[in-house]
Amino acid sequence: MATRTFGEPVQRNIDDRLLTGQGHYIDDIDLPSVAHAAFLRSPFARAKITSIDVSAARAHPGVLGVFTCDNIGHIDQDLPLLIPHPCLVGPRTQRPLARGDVYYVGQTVAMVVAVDRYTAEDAVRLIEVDYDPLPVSVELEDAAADGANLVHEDVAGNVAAHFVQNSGDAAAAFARADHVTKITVRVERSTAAPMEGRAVCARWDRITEQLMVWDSTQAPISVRGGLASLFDIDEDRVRVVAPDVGGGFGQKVLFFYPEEVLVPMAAIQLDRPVKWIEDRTENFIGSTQERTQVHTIELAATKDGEVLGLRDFFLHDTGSFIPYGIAIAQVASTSIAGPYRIPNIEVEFKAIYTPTVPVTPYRGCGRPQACFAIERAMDKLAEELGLDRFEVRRRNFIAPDQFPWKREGLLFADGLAVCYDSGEYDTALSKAAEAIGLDRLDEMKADARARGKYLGLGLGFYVEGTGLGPYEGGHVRIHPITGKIYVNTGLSTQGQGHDTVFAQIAADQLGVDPSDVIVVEGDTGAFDWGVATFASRAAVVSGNAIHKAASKAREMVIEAAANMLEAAPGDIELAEGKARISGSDRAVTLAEVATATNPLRYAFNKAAQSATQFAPASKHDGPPLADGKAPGIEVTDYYSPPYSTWAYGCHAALVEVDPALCTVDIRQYVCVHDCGNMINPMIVEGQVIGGMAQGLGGALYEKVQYDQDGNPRNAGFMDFLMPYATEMPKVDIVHMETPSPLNPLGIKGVGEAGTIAVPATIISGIEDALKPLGAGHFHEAPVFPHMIFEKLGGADQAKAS
Amino acid sequence: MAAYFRPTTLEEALAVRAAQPVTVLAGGTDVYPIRANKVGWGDMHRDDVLDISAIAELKEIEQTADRLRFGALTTWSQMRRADLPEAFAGYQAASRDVGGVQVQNRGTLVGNICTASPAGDGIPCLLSLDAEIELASARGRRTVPIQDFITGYRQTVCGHDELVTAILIPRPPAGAVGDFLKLGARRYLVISIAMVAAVIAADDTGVIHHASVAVGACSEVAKRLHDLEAALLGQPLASAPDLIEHAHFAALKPIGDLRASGHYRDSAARDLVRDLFVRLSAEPKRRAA
Repeated sequence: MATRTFGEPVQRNIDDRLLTGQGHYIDDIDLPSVAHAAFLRSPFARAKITSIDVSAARAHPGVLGVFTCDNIGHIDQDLPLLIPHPCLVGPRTQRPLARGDVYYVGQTVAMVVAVDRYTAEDAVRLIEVDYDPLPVSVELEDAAADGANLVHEDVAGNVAAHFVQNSGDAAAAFARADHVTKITVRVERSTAAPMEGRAVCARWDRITEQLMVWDSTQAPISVRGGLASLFDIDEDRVRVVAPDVGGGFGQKVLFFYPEEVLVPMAAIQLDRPVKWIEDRTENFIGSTQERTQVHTIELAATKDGEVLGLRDFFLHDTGSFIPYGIAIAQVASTSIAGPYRIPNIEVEFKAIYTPTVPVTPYRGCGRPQACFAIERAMDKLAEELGLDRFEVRRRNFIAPDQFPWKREGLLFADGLAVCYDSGEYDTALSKAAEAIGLDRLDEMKADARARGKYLGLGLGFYVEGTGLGPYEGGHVRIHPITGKIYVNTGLSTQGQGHDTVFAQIAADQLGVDPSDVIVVEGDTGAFDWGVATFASRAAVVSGNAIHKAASKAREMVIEAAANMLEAAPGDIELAEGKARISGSDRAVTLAEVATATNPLRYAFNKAAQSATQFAPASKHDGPPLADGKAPGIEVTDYYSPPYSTWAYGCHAALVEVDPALCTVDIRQYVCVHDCGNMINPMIVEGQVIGGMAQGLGGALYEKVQYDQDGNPRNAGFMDFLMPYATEMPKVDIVHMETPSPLNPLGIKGVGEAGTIAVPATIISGIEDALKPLGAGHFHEAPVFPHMIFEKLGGADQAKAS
Repeated sequence: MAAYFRPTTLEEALAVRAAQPVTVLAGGTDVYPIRANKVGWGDMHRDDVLDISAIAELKEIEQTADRLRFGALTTWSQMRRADLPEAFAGYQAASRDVGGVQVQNRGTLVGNICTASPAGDGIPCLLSLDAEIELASARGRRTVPIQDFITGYRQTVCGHDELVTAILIPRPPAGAVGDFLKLGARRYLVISIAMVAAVIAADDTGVIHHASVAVGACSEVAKRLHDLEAALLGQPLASAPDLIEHAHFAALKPIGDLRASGHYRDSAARDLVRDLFVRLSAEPKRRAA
């Protein structure tokens, strides 16, 4: 196809608009007479509410409504448990506004709606609440210990879920192993911190009885279904739009957050539009977080380093509620064996309640923890067996001819057995070794020593199940007036550049420039079947649905154009917005085709003349629109993956440590990744580098901290330190493209690829660097300088002196 | 409703200051975040505000034969761009490390010392430069050495009727060079874990005849290291990194907090001073960028 753009670094359609400030986020939606909501949030991690007095707030000038659990009607109920699972022994979700108890600092207790945000916030402070604080066990291990203070009085041991999965026979493997390596690793809590926080704006139209909701969400269709259900109205009378959304990273896939139901409720009750924009403090205490897990992982190996079996037990911190079910822990437990064959696996986890912000997936979703556990264990195994870190990995990789590689008994987040579809793991490792300059490593280490520094090699290999079902749809229509291609899909974008890759996919089928494809996402009024954007699935699932729809549209165009041009369909080619007879200049535009395929009564323009009943081209037997045909060129199709595609990659880094200040400098960073066929390598690189930045946060900088009473200690950008451009190393990206056999485009997801392996890579580099100083093992993420200092014995020296 | 005053003369400002308790606002880079954080956690109390940013006479930097005078509204950006003696190179380096450019354009040198945070990046610089702080009130003017101006954690001698009007710095000895190093958990936009400032002068033979070294964020108030300074005098500048002893840092009392442990701070302070001396001895004539 002459105009094929698949695989080309096409400029992103949205950039001009976003980079020149023309984006429209929820706070840019300025409805007449809009009212503003503000929330009173719990100042205690765990307390009984003994009284709430809202009289002063109600009397405050400009206040339109003050809401507590007592006047929100039937929505005073537990919010949905989105992903039920039999292993959830004590599932708990929060109520929109606390009733009787609060479970974390930041939980919504009351809502004020007023003429402006200032008034609303002033009135919030006039609400008097009496709390009776309860003792808490905040740290994950403490909350899981016997006798811990309970988050939910009726959930014993704070255990929200307990799950054991087996693939093969781990016990037998351990019985016959020559060697067992066992380590415990700990990964800390972080937060997505999207540039735009959450936001909701709702308008109730009492004439049409329609509820319009703008929501900074990753799941508009699902939000619509939920709202319709909650308010007991037809789905068709609820429209949810996710306009430009300033980042989500998983934090915005959860629904419902309390504000998402309370703001529409207030709009209906007050018969007035209501808006709420989350502030940064609220994002730290009211939006979900992720990562804390403690894994104890054991590898049973032969003396040659072949891993026969794996056992992993881990605790997963789910915060105060578990609305997203066991998704994170399930992804961690099913990714735990990484790229290695390891035929016998036993993995067990407990999801534990802690009196902290609830936990739901954040970019990576359990994979960074699993990657950290298995990769640090593989390094330890290599060390204990006296094998090279690369070699021990090579001996265990699933070989290219062994795919599909199924782990019977391990059920992935889509409910299906884990099954890796394709990959060239050994090649990826070799490319990483080459790109990082492994053959010059000793030389580089010596050079660092000469400068008083210690240099180490970091290595991390990851796999990533992407493109989960159940399905997404694509709608393709050629506009009869302009000839432009309209593409709709149900999921939504948070700035990834979906619109460009979806445009490329449709453009390739229809022979137009991607800039002539108009993509609408995240509007249930435009397309109302589908799920959401999460788990690196948009390109795979919506992309293939759009591809299928566009392919059918192409066939329809060719058939119609062949009729119009009196040529054989096989002679028609599509290019430059036209259908042309190959090798001739006889052509019709797509606009003409779209017009001609729509039988018309009225000749409203020149092109339309050819579609009227009395036009020569219309002469045919039977009715103008043949039985079974629809007017115009318009196709809707769906793609439902048989199971997830598995992307993978290998990161390597040269990490230099200053033994005095204990600071870490990443001298070089290589990311070899394979997400199958790339639609747009520039966007892929953007995803990888952005993901890497968030991975770097988890490796060296970011840790959400709570004190022993459950108060957040760093709920702001002053002390929650995300890496900036000054912290990001230059990343050398090496692309590999092993097509997925599972979908027509041969693609896999890439949204989380950059994030997963970074802590394992950088921290293994720190460990390698400090080996000559006898610093020991680094099995926690992130690593802060004072932790290196302690490993180097600095604290002991300081005490001794 | 809180009152907001924005006088254009010092005299008017001092009258407001004497008449009621006010929060003094200059660049606002401390006042606003602290206020926003309080509101975020439910504290809606508002103090009256005295905004001194319109007082023209506080904006000047003056250099005379024997001293330099930085008016109370001198911003970090002005400090960074000013043509100053080599001894100010450390203070100028610190002015690049405080927040980002937006903060540097608004934040003032005097605001930094009035906030009196242990982590105030300007404070060790001022200690190393033997600065004095000029205060005014309706009662008159006085000057206080910087080490006496800050008395504790976020505490100063500035009276409730007083305003700081300027920082006065004696012209440094001939050949003096200064430098500053900051350690944070991130390169920029970060509260310091520790920072060090030094001004050292050596004669033509390389022998040190003036040394002042100060460390911040490792005690309630940033401290001069007088024992270390004494050990440097009369010694070759090139040997400075080797003259550092553990005991020289006895005055520091670093605490552990969410940014770092006390032991790490203590160790980092010594390493930062050593690194600083290496830089000063390697490039005695380095110019401020």
